[in-house]
Amino acid sequence: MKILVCLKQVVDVELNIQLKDGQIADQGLRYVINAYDESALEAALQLKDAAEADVTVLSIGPDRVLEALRKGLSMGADRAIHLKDDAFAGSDSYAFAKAVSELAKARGYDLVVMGKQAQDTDAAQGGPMLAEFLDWPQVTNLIFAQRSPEGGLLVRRVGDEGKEVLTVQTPAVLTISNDFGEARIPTMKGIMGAKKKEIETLSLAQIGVAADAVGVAGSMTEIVNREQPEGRKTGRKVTGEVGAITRELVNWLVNDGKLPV
Amino acid sequence: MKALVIAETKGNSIKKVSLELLSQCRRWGLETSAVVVGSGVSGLCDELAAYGASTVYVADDASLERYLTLPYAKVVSEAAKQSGAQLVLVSGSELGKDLAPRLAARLGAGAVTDAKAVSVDGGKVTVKSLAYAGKVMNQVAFKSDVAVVTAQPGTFELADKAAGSANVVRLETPESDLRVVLREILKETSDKVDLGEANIVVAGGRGMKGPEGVKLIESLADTLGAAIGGSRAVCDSGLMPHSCQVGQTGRVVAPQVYFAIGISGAIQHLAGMTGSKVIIAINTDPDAPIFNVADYGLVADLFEAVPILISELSKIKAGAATAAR
Ligand SMILES: Cc1cc2nc3c(=O)[nH]c(=O)nc-3n(C[C@H](O)[C@H](O)[C@H](O)COP(=O)(O)OP(=O)(O)OC[C@H]3O[C@@H](n4cnc5c(N)ncnc54)[C@H](O)[C@@H]3O)c2cc1C
Repeated sequence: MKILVCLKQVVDVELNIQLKDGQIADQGLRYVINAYDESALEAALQLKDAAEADVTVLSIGPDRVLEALRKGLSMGADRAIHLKDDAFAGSDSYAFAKAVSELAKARGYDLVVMGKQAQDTDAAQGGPMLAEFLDWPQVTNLIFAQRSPEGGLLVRRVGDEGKEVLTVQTPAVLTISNDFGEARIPTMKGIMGAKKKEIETLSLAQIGVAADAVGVAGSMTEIVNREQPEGRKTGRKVTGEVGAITRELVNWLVNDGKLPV
Repeated sequence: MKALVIAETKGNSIKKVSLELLSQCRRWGLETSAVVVGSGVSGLCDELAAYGASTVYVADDASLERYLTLPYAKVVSEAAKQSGAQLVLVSGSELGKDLAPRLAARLGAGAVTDAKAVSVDGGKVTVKSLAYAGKVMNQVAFKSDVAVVTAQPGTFELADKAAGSANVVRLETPESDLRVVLREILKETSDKVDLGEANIVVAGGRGMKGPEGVKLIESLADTLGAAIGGSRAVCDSGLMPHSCQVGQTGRVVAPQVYFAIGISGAIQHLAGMTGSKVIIAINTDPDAPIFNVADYGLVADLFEAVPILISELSKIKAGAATAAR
C-alpha cells in the first residue's frame, strides 16, 4: 500500500501573533508541523506497522519545510517530497488540493492522509477537496484506522451523534483528528536513519501543474483584509468562603436574568 | 442574488441552525432555496418554507437516512446547480465540515469555514472568519461564481415563522456507492440537547479528576437543562465522549451561558467557546487563563462549589414551579 501523508508547516499559534501592514508579522514567529498532520503521519505509520506499506511525507513551501520532512522521516516515513515553487505562495485549500491531486495521480498512491484541519486556518477543506478532484471516497475526522479483512480499511470517526464505524475502499483520502492519539517521538535510531534517506525536490512543472493553477491565480478565495479581534473583557473574579461566593453567583445569574429559562 | 441552505435534521425536525441560516437569507432579501436529504423528510418542507425557502429540493429515501459524503454530495450539488445559487450555506457541524468542501470543489467554488460574519453586497459575498486559534480575523472574498460558507449555530438570529408554502422539487436518490459503508454509530449524544445548539452548556475539565467529578457536572447540567461539554484532556482520557469536546478540535459553541468548570482555558479550548454570551468559570487556580475571558469567576474547588450551585438552583426552580401553580 502506497501512502502519501501531507505535512503542513504552520506558525506556532501558541506564540504571540501580530499584524504588520495587514500581514502576519515575521518577528518572533516559529514554525511547527501542524499537530493534526502529525497525527495523520502516526495513523499512516500504524498501518505500516501492521502490514507492508510505503509511506511518503509531502510538504509544500520554502526550504524551512525541510525540517518538517526530516522529522517525518525520523518518525518512520520511507521517503519525502519537497514541493518547492514560488508560484505556490498565496494558495488556498482549493489550489492546494488541485496540486496534490496531480501528484497523487502521477505517483499512484492508494491512500492520501492528512490532518483534519490545519492549526493556522482551521479550514478543514484540503482533504475533501482533494478527494473530489481525484474522484475518490473520503472519510474525515478519524480517530482509528486499520486494514479490514474484507479489503480496504476499517475506520472510526467522530460524527455529530457519536463515533461512526465505517469501511472504506482504497484509493481514498483520510483526514485525521489529533484525538487519534499522540504522534510517536523520533527515536535516536530513527533520527540517524533519516539522515540517509533522500528528500526529493519537485517543482510544479515536474508534477504537471501549471503555475496559474495554484497561488493567488488558482485560488477561489482571497484574504482581502486581516485584523486583530478585540478579546473578551475580563469580568469579576471572586474569592472567599465557598458557600457565600457560590450563592452570590446564583443571585447574579438569576437576578440579572442571565439564565435563560 | 440566489442562495441555497443545506438543511440538517435531528430526529424528526429541522435543526435550529438551518432555520437561522434561512432567516438570515430572508433578512438579506435573497431568493432562497433549501435542500433536505434523509429518510422521511418530505414532511419538513413547510417548516423550511415558513423560514423563507421559496423552493425546497428534497431527496427522501430509506437509503439516505444516515449521512454519507458521496450520496449527499451528489444530491446537494444537483440542488445547487438547479437552484442557480451563488451562495450556499450549511452549518459547521461535522456533517457540514465534511460536505461543504467536497461540494465546493465539485462546483468549482471556494469555501470559507465557520463564518463569524457574512456580507452580501451587490452580488458579492465577503466573509469574516478567525484564524491562528482566534488571534486574527480574516476577511475573505470569493473569485468563484459560487461561494460555499459554513456557520456555527448562533451566528445568525432566528427570525419569526411566516406563512408560506414552498415549491417542492424532488431529486433522484443516487445509486448506492459502496466505496464507503457505514457499519455502526456508537451514539454518544443526548436526543434532548444538542451541544452546538444548547442555550446552556456545562463543561468540565481535568479538574473533575474522575467519574465522581463527571457526575457532579452531569447533575448540574440536568438541573439547568443544559448540554454537557468537556475539554480535550477529559475527552482524550475517556472520562467523556469525544463528541462532547469543545474547542479547536471539538465543537465550536456559542450558548447564552457557558460554565467552564475545572478547565484551565488553553487557547485551543477558548477557540471553541469565547463566542458564548456569558462565561462562568470555576477553578481553584486564581491565575488560570480561563478567568481572563470569564464574566464571572469563582476561585473555588468544584467539589465544594458545584453541589451548592445545584442545591441553590434546584431551590429556585422548585420555587418557580410552586409560584406557577
Ligand atoms: C492542535 C490542538 C488542538 C486542541 N484542541 C482542543 C480542543 O478542541 N478542546 C480542548 O479543550 N483542548 C484542546 N487542546 C488541548 C489544550 O491545549 C489543553 O491541553 C486542554 O484544553 C486542557 O484541558 P483542561 O483545561 O481540562 O486541563 P488542564 O489544563 O490540566 O486544566 C485543569 C484545570 O482544573 C483546575 N482544577 C484542578 N482541580 C480543581 C478543582 N478541584 N476544582 C476546580 N478546578 C480545579 C486546575 O487549576 C486547572 O486550571 C488542543 C491542543 C492542540 C495542540
